[in-house]
Amino acid sequence: MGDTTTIPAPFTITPAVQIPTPKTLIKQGAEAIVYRTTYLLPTIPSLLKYRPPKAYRHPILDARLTKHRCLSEARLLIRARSLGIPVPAVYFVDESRGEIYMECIEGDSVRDVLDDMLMQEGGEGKVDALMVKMGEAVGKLHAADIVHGDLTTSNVMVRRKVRKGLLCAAQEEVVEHVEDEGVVLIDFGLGSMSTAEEDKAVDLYVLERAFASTHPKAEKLFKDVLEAYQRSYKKSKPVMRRLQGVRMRGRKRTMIG
Amino acid sequence: MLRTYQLENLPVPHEVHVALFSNITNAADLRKQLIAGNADFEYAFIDATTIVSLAHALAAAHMSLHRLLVSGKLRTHNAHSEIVYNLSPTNNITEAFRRFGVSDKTTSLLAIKVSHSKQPHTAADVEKHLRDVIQGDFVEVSDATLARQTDWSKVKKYYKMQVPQDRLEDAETEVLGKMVMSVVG
Repeated sequence: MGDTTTIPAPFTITPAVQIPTPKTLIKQGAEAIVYRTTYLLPTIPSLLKYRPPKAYRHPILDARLTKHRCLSEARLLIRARSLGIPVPAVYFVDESRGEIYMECIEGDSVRDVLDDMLMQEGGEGKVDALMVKMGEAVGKLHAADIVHGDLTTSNVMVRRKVRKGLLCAAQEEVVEHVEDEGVVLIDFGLGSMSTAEEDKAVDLYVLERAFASTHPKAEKLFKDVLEAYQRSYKKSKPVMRRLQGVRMRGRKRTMIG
Repeated sequence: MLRTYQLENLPVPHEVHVALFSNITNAADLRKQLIAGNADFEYAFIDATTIVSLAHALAAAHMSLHRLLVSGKLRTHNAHSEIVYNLSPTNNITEAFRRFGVSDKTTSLLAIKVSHSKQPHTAADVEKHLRDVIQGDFVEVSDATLARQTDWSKVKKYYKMQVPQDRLEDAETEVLGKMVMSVVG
């Protein structure tokens, strides 16, 4: 080791201890735990999605499932991002530990935002703009043959803050008019690549149900979403046709499971 | 001036020293040393034209240190060659070095040295050694100085960027994602 006496303090030698990066729990689901933490530098906010081992599964099977799901989620996010679909950016994946570090989206789910907007006087215009953004995002996703798998209003976020500048000098700015900022699709844990109309129709159906179950004015709203969807996804006709069928019989085509 | 970082979410003590040089005249010599496996030249020598931002370089160092200190699964000889390999969106090692590593024609160079308990290197030692062996101008490392060196036609080609990203921020995160691609397939 070098001559430590002549060098100023912080640059002497590798520190003996590493201070663990702080992380705060923000959500615990059935499959994963989501923390807010940082990536690379303390100034770069990041979201950690951690899939803990399940004690009830055989360890080998457990490791395989965790790894597989982690990789498939990261793959979908990266693919979507590079095609310009609004999803969180992936920073780092440790598939054997079941960790994905990704961009932290500051905001609220469409579900919460809608409730707020509908309560306000004259919130209708904002809601319409939001529905169009949502429809466009889902349309782009399906045009890229990516199926979300759990498309609910809770899994679409509305940015409240945008990041300005490159990561290492990141600064966040509060968005004044939420409806001007794009929506972000999150949680691709059940997502997959698929060209099947059925899968895409089921995505839409699940979203429709999510609207219907949480928002009283749902029917009108979802119509706006579908219109924007069809505009941004040119080959959406067969999917729309299929959606009729799905509506008649429900989400499950096969009567298994 | 050399910059030293400690990266987040790595449970083991470490340091990452980063230095940037422009107007290099002895890139061919440096490359020769690397090929000869000279232990004194154990650095990640990166062609700075392929680097978009500081986070881009640090992300590669982070992946490498993670493989070295956490998972213990280095895919190349050492943590430094791993850094260059990590920059690549593909699994082809030769291609990764040809594209992102120092070449005979390199004029702007990003040098990274990692330090950990088994192989500690002080910032001062690293800086002194780099100043001795590299013929070129020592440049302050920052997003701004790195951006000045970036060759976007290369970056777009190497990272197969299909959609034009209007904001530099978006291009940066796309590049970070593509680096993960070689792991997730």
